Amino acid sequence: MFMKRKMFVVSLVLMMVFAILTACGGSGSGTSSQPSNVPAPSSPAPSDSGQPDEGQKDEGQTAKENQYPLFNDPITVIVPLAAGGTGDVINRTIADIAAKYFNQKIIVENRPGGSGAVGIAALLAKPADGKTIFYNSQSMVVSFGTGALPYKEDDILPLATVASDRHALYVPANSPFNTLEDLIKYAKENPGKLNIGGVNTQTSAHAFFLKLMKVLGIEATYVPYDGSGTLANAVLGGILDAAVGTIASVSSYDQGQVRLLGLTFHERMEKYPDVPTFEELGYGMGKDLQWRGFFLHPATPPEIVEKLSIFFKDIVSKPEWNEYLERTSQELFMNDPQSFADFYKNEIAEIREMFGDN
Amino acid sequence: MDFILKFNLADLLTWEILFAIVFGVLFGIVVGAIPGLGATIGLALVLPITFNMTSLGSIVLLASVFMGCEYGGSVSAILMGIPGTGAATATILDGYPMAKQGRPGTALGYSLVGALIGGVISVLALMILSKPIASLALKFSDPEFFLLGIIGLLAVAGLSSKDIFKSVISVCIGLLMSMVGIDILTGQTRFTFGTVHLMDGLHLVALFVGMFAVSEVFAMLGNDPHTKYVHDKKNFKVAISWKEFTAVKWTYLKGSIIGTIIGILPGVGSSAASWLAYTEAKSTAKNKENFGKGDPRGIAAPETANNAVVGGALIPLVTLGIPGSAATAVILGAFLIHGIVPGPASFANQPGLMYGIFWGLLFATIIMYFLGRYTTSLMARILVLPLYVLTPIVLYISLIGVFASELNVFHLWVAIIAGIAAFFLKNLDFSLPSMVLAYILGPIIEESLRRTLVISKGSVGIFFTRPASIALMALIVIFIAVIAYQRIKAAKKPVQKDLHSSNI
Repeated sequence: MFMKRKMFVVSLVLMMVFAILTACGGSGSGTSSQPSNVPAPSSPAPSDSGQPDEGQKDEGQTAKENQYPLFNDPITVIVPLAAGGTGDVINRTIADIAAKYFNQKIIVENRPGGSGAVGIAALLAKPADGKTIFYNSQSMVVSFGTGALPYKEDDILPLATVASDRHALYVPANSPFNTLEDLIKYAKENPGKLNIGGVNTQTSAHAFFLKLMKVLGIEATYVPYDGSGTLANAVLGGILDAAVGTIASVSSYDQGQVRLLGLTFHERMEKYPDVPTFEELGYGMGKDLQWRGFFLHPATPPEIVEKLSIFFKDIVSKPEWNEYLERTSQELFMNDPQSFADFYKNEIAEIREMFGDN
Repeated sequence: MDFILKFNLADLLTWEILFAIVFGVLFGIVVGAIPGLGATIGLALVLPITFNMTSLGSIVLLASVFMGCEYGGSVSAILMGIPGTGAATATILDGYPMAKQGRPGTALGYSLVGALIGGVISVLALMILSKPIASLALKFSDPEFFLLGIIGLLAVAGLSSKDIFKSVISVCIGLLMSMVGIDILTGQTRFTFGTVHLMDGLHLVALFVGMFAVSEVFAMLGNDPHTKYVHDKKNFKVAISWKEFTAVKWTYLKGSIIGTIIGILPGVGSSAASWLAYTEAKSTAKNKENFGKGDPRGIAAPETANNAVVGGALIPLVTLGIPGSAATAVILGAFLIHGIVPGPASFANQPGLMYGIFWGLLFATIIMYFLGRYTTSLMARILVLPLYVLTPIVLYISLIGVFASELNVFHLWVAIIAGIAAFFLKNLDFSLPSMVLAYILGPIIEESLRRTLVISKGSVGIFFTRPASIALMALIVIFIAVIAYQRIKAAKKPVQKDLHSSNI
């Protein structure tokens, strides 16, 4: 009797331990749960400026190269999105490449919420030693520009961009609009009547829509959906006249059921050789892209910023990265901290103007 | 139908696929059973494993995890009153009382058989009816979602037989809770009190765990601490007798159909499916008094529905490439990673893969039944513990679960406050299920209606020009007529005054 009870207690304790481990464990590219108010274990003192990290020496070579692993501790990437979506998979792909080629462990930590505010809070709570990186995309720019966040754009430091996705305007295959001009003509004759769908408001899709309206000189109604799945359903079901979105999200369900009327950026895409860019049709949208990149704590020392920048350059040069870009219909878009910071500030200023003072 | 003959089943008998099925189902059950983790997290956790597998292996693994998760949620719901997944919350209402009566094995049995039936029926629908259903599903858009939501709310009227006012108030509280957060159509924040943690609304897991598990902990505190729920070892066997099965077979069938249909519609989800199935079972039941006290139909309906959602959700995914939920979005991601764009082209170019997935999922469902019997009967032994040990364990696991789902302490407070409030509301005879149903349906109703009116530029005429809308409106009228008729008939009968039966 006594032994039986003991066995139950032991198996119970094991279950609880298992529960805790699964919830709080995580290694490699699994999800980790370090609470933001617990200092990262075994990290050197936060104000580490000027001291080289362990195992890392710049030996005065003319071409700056990194010694890998960059840090003996894992790098944590904070992803302000739920697990499983495009924004999540991209980070796990990077973690795989880092582990394979550079022996650098990267842990993905999902902290969704508040359009990125929860993620930024988590980043700023960690020491500025380069071991915590924050992932985001152009959507972040829109969130800053519309004033939706309790943060300013200087609260995070741009590090690198790694991929980009173009925006497109598309219609269902049975739509009466065969070219962009058809749509513009209809819109000019019937201002406000067109229903154009996109994902959420105050996102990069919404910003793209507003810019498109301004550049094309037309008026239409924006219909927000809460996910690309429900948007796809609406487009294919015919209740919308058109929709805006990124190439990656469209190509995942395009089987000839949609027609792309135009793409952003300067040259046509290999994958869609027949689709014109807005620029070549005379409606320049500039560099408008849904880029994806990484940010750091603003107080990170410059040498560490540079090392991380080189690290990302090395990662995107690997063939696996190219394969990933191919599969997801994205393109390489590598920027170092300076050029990133430049266009980042410009985009935010543009968005701020577009959305008025919210 | 020719795929049944054309497909070489031997293709499935590789070590990789067997591993995918067995590991997938087991992992799914465990992840589902741990409160706070659900299908989406489970799928994201195994996604890296799939990078190195073949395409067939990856998708079968993910689909198996998905199927296992939906069953797994009922394990903690039945054994501890903690919903393992949002969809398992409805199972608590009758599953937990049955376990407390000393019959956890039977409760788990009803749930497992339901999972098997729901899974099989939905996978069969996937195999046979994908294409016609998919094109039908495209006819459903915002106007129809709004009407479906209304039907769901009307069903609440069938949920309660006594105090209709308290039910209405419960529904209103639920709707109010669903409005917290950023409004999608204007970008404005509502009821967030300035904190970023409420910008995405009251977290579903925190709310449900709070309302059902935490409030239950308070209820447990009122009992003799030396109580043990289960005394007889026989009751750990996870099985139901043939007689028990035939008594609920129609519930299983209806629940499977409801689950499959809801799975097909994007954006609705397994929580809605299980609650709607529960609501339907209770509304149309001849004798409702046992609901909430361990009625087998109250376990059969939600559990079969939430597993049926798996097959249903795969229909728009494989035929059109449309992911209906976060979980299916992960599976779509896996497809894309292997370079496959699901849709008519993939059926034409790689029929072996697509049919292999369907058959693989069918086998996974069957294996889930057997694995479930043996593993969950072990887990059921937790109920031998006396209350003074069980109560802190339940509280502890609930709170860990809430934290695990979002790594956010704020949601723990949401859960605790919801738990305290729910404890009082339950004792005051308010209807928690109505509140939950309203909370789930609220966003669907509100957003769909507003989006419909944006599209139609404010004209209500859009509801009358779409065939699916007209059909649904006719259904609503019939529904109201039936409810009114039932009430008039009940009012004419001599009322049995029973002071002890409570409201839901």
